[in-house]
Amino acid sequence: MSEHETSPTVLPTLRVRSLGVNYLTRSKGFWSRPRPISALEGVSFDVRPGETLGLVGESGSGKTTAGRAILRRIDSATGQIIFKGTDITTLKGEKLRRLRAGMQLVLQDPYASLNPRMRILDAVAEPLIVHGVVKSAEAARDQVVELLDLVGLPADAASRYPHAFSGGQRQRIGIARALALKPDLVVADEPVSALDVSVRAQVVNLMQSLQRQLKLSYIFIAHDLSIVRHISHRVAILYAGRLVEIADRDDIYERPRHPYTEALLSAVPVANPALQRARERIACEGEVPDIANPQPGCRFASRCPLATQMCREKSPPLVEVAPGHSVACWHRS
Amino acid sequence: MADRLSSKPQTPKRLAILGGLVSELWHDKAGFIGFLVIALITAMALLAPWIAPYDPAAQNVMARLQPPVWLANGDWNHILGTDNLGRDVLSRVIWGARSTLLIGASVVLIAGTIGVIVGLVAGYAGGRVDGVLMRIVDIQVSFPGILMILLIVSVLGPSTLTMIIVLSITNWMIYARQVRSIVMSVRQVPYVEAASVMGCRPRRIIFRHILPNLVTPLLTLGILEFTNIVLAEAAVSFLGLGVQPPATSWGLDVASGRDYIFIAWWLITFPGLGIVLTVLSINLFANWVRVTTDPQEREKRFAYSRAARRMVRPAEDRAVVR
Repeated sequence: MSEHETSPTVLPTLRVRSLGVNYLTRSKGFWSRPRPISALEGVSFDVRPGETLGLVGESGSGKTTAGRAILRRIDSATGQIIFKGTDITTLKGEKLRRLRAGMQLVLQDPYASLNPRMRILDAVAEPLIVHGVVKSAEAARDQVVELLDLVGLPADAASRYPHAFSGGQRQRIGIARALALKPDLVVADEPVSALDVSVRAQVVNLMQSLQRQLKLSYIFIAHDLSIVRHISHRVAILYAGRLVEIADRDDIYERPRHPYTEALLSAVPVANPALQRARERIACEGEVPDIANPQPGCRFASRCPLATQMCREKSPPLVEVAPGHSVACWHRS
Repeated sequence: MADRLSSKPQTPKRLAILGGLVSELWHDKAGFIGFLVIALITAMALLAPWIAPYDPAAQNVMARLQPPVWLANGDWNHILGTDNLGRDVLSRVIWGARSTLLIGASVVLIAGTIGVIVGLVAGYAGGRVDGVLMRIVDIQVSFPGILMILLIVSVLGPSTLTMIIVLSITNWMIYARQVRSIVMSVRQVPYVEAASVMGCRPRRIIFRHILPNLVTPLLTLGILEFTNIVLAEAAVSFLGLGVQPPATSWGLDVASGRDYIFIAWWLITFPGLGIVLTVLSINLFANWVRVTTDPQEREKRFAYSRAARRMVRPAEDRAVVR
């Protein structure tokens, strides 16, 4: 899987260029105006057909925001989103709705992502109905059964309600629903973090085999590094709304460049007690920066062991240090 | 179930669904009784001219304040006694059901519809639309309802239709507020987000994903409001601006019987009992509707009823086991 194409001739499924998203603060008091907070700033990456991009970061790092902005659930303040060669950054109305057939979402919480009042048949057939593929859920029954079979559920699941299923099964239903329209890109927002460890592997393996069968591209948002390593071809690390490092999976796990990536990887336990004890754990001192009151310079400077005066004054650009491996750090690039 | 064998494909299916619902209702005894009582009261209202023993407005000064038949001095001519003008209480209760049910039901429906639409729009659109709509609600709530009623009635003139319009205008706000708050919270639910990412149009999201969540709270609110409307109608009628004599309503009779509560309790009791019975049976029936529209609750009910049937026939079960 690591021999992925770096040749520029392959048209990427998704190309994101310096994407930025602002949130508005709730105005304090009657007269103050709401102030924009930059939740995401200058994020750029490509996702090629059949490739999985792992999007990793701690809570509040903007990984979910990035996923939502790509799906056009929230508007971006700056940058460009190019999906299969068309700029979709400012698409609106019916065109945007049509676009949605090509990119789908798998949500984190399988218990809340299915409408409890809709049968599985209706839920999985809904994308087909709203995009005019079929007239009614009954007419889509064969397709739904096929989709359920694809995700490993029996045909009789179609006529039951979501509460009859376990978390893992519901996540499979969510995946079947996302695949109904044969999308090119699936944004999976922490699809397994709400599941039991024993079920996680099943769902991740299912996603991988579906990718191979259907040539899907995934954006896999997660904070569990071992699962990201398992499923991703490329990995992007976000910190406080900025991309700090992006590289092929093996590059990033074996030769991390950014001090934050190093710290993050050192926190992943190794399943070998002797090795685990011998490892050096890099603990980050200091606080996560408050993105509501941004300081100049590198966002990681307050916690970085390498930080110098320059880091606190100027924010580092994302620089390609090796083929396909980019880092935003003054000292490591 | 013999309908299924019929050659037409569409109607038997619908009949089967209807038959299934009827048998479900039959198994929920409380819901069934509620439904039965509502049906009876409605039939009584519709058939009033044929079943009422007297003209409800016919006065008989000789037979004033006669007690019901089971008390001393009561007689079979006036089963539920007579009022201060010698009018037959039973006939008045039967006729009163007409305007009470008509006004109560139509006001709940009309005000509910207005309120639900306003609440849905405000909650779903948010932002400025929400701000404007909710300020309208605030203004309407802060404006004294009875003053509004007096104003409108004095312009339009009292009639049943005026009553329905007036009470709808003064009672829709509570639905709007409740619906708005539910819509705002349901909009954040992941399955609603999934629907919009999937490419559902707003109308579909509202009707398929948001509206079903409103069934339970709206049923409860509608029933509470029904009693409110009956009492509001009584108050307005008491002021002489609502239901006009010789027509009558339960609320009006309760209001005017109040003066005689210590010497003739039956004046206020029987129309009051009518209100209580109506509300109670709507409540029981609505509870059945609530459970039936929620798949999870419904499945639980099936499980309970199956378990209950097993309890009733333990001997048969044991025979099977052996």
